[in-house]
Amino acid sequence: MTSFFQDFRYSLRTLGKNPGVTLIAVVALTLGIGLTTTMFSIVYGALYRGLPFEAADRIMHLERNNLEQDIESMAVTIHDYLDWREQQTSFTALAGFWSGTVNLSGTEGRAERYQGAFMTGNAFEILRVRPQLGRVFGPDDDHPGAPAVAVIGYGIWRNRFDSDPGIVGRTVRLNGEPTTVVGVMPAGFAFPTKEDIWVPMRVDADTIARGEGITLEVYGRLKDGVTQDRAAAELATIAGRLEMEYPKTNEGVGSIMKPYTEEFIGDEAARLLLTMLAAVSLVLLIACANVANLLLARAIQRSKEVAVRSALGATRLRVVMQFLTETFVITLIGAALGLAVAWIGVRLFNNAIVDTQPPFWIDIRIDAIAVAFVIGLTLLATALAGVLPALRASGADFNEVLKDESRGSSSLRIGKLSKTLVTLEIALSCGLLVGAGLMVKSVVQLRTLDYGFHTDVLTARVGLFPADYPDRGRRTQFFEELRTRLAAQPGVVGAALGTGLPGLWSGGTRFAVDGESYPDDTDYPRARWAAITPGYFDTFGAAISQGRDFAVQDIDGNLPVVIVNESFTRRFYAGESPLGRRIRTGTSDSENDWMTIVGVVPDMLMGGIDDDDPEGMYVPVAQSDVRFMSIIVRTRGEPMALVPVLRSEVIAIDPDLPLYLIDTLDTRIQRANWFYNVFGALFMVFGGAALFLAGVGLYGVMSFSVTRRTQEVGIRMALGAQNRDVVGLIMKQGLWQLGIGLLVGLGIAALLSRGLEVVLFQVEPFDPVIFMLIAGVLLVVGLAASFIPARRATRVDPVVALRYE
Amino acid sequence: MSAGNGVLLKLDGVTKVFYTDELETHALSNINLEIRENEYLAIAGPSGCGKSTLLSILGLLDTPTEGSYTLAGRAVASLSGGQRAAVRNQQVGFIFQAFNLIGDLTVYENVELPLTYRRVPGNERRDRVCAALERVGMEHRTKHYPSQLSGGQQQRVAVARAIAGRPVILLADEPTGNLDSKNGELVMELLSELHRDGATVCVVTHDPRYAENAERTVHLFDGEIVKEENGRGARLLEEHGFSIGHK
Ligand SMILES: Nc1ncnc2c1ncn2[C@@H]1O[C@H](COP(=O)(O)OP(=O)(O)O)[C@@H](O)[C@H]1O
Ligand SMILES: [Mg+2]
Repeated sequence: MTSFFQDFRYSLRTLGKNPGVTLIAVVALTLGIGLTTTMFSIVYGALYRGLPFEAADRIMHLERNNLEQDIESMAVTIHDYLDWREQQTSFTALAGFWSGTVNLSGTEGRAERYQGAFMTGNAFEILRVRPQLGRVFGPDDDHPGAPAVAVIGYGIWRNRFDSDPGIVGRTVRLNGEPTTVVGVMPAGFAFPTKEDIWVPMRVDADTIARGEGITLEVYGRLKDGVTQDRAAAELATIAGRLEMEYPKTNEGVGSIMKPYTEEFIGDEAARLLLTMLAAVSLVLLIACANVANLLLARAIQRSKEVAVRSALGATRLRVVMQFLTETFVITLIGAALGLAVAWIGVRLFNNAIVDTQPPFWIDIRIDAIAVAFVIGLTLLATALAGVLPALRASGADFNEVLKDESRGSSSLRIGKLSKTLVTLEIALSCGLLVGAGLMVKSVVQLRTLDYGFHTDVLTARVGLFPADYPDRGRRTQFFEELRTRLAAQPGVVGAALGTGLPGLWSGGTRFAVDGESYPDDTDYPRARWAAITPGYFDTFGAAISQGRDFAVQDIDGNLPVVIVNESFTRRFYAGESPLGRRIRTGTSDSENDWMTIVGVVPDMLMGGIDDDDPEGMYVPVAQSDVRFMSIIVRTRGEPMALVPVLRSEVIAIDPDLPLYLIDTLDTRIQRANWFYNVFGALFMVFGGAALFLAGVGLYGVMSFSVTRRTQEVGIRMALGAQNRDVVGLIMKQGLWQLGIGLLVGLGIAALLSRGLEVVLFQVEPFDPVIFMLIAGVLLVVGLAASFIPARRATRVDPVVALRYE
Repeated sequence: MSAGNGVLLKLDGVTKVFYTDELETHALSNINLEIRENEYLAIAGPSGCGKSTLLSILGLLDTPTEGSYTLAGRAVASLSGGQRAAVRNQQVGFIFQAFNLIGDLTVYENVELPLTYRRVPGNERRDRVCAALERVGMEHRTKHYPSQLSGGQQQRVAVARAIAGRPVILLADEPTGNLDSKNGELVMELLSELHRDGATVCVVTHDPRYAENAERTVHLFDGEIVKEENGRGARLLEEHGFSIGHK
């Protein structure tokens, strides 16, 4: 131990004597450790921290699949839920919920829309959470006909009710219905994912046919001693039993169980995050390779010191420890600064995703675990960067060195090791940069995408509830009145409503084409579906290509009509005019009306911007039964300037109706695709750091090599080598490393880009332009990094280089 | 080439001053020196007297601080670096005490180097490298690396490298300093042979035995020429009735 402190003190002195080398090494490690820790904290916070509840890893998410119908996951019908709940023995209980809009209105303030969860009565009990005020739900709260109650979140309590200590027992209007607040949850609780308010579902299963009705997300807490495997097996048995008992609704329906949080992150996101962590680990590896190289160079310069130490009786281990201690000191400084970088990185990342409302348990911060991770990295980096130089330094034949025979100018074996490390660095940074290039191209594609419709329109959403709007007629009337009022406003070019917005995801339905026959329900084709008011296409500036738009007479009782898009026409009518032909939503047992096609419109990204199934249909709002609508207003000036007008027009019709998701369509689309931007930016940082490190690394090795080859260069100059000969000589070495590094790097890039596929937008993972561009950039940086030392070599004074004392 | 004793190079009032850390070292002061074609000149003197500096200037590795230098009829004292490199490459052959072969290159490649820098075409290059290696008796070691050779062999390769480019003058700085006496004699014998075959040779040495080989010896002391004498070689030639010079 005393020798460690001796080494430590000596290290500090040595490092201080070589400030340049120390600085570069510290910067490299700061970048490597900082970025890796940032990414680790993100991955840990998003994937592994889990729910902030007692023994939360025992809470499982349950859903169904139907592999016979290619459905990999679907929520649970109320009857299946009840049967599961009754028959299972693996869980303390099973609870269910669905998420939806909760409108609050009343004397306490402006009508406001919140994201709420409608839950079974046992939902809180399974989580083992306590309210801050009042109570959570009990088993009776979800009975049909039970009194209307709600538990509100801390945010609502504080902001809407001014932290009223007497809130419990107070009555509010919730989706139009008088409801009693029974409890307030503590800050930070937003189960199931980002909900602000909780309402018991009061569903009467007896009034719903099996297989019908709203579906639930189900979760439960494993009993002590029950393994996940056993629980999953039991659920499968139950699903099999239900299949036998109810073949009509349950044929092919299986069960899926996984840890709760996994359901809400998704495999793709998890894979992406892990790919990013792998990518950033490459940056750390590059940093370590750099430091190893710098230390190798120094180990050579210090062979004499080592030889003297050895001659004085230092064991090899002792010398190795001395060198490792030096590396450790450098790494320690890098780690401390890296922790600061990670702290900033995590803040930036959190800021970048704040608009996306990630699930509430995602908590990305620098905590004890991150610090432990950094300590681990410090030791790892010390080993990676320090062992080779230490072994090399201690292994030099000290007899040879002390004799100091400087005949000839043979390069030392060390050169090969350094060159290999730099070649590796180039390869790794090439891989990362290609990743960055692909992602940047995605962002550019996204930003410059030609939508074919106006995205600079104001949009907002409203939801009508049965308490105030009990029937279709009332709802249709509201939508139509709102549309005509908005259209009449000064500054408004057009106004319309629709269940979906172009460029954002719309759901789909199975349907039948008149004249076709379908042997099985699963043979019915699918298309995207939206209900819209007249003027929808006009408002987006999309021209109707055949037929007509909906009109005010397209209402219940008149001819049911439908408009389809061009992909639909191509696929189902082979491109011939479909006007006058008929389709019907639903499958064999459909009781819906046949709808006559009256118009064809261009494709408008009904499935979102990255959609493979563009076929879609539009039906008139007045001929369908919808409650939630998006409002679209195209304005002459700045769209957001019209928000007050929009609000006041809604209030003029219904003062209790809140608007939400108020933004331009452009903002909505950008926000929906946030990950392209965030991950693109992350990769740019990683790639940039890698490029910087590789450049510095190459420069360092070339520089060292020039120093080492001074005598050789001197000889060559004495023999008449011109400057260009000397530059060529040095650069040839750099070019070899560059060439091999690039080849290997493009291979790494090919592997890495596979993992990035999910965040690539209209970019092939093997985009040749990006691959070539990055290779070009690296080539230029590499040439520059070699050229500077090569130029320096031409300034060698042969007289000095060849002096023999 | 004109036969006889035309002046090959001429130093006129050459001075070399090194400036290091506010310290001026007058390595050479007012050197006037002529070397005739096919002459064999020795430069002698104690360590630190400026021999290597003088040779560096003769070989255009360094430039005089003052004075003029004419080589083969051309004023070369103020040429650019690139021009000096070209002159070194075409007109000067260097032989060093430390051999200074390049360790990463084979014997063959080392000898080839000056021809490469002169962009001599491949065929001719091969012929000239082989001829030079034969001349020094190292033709059987072409694929060896310097570290695989003895000191004497390395120095012979260095001589081959110096003559492969057919320079107008061979400059050797203590070529025997790193060799045992037997190998030293071999190398000096080689230089004498080259001289007999027509080469102009200038050898720095502090070993009086070898200085005897030369026709003329210049003695340096503290950067100045303090004495010139005709060497044993010159006397031998005179005794046998040859004139100085060749053919
Ligand atoms: N590049 C240089 N910088 C400074 N001083 C030098 C340099 N080269 C030689 N000298 C000095 O010039 C003097 C002559 O050196 P040198 O020609 O090498 O002597 P010799 O070869 O006769 O031993 C010495 O004092 C030496 O220290
Ligand atoms: Mg000398």
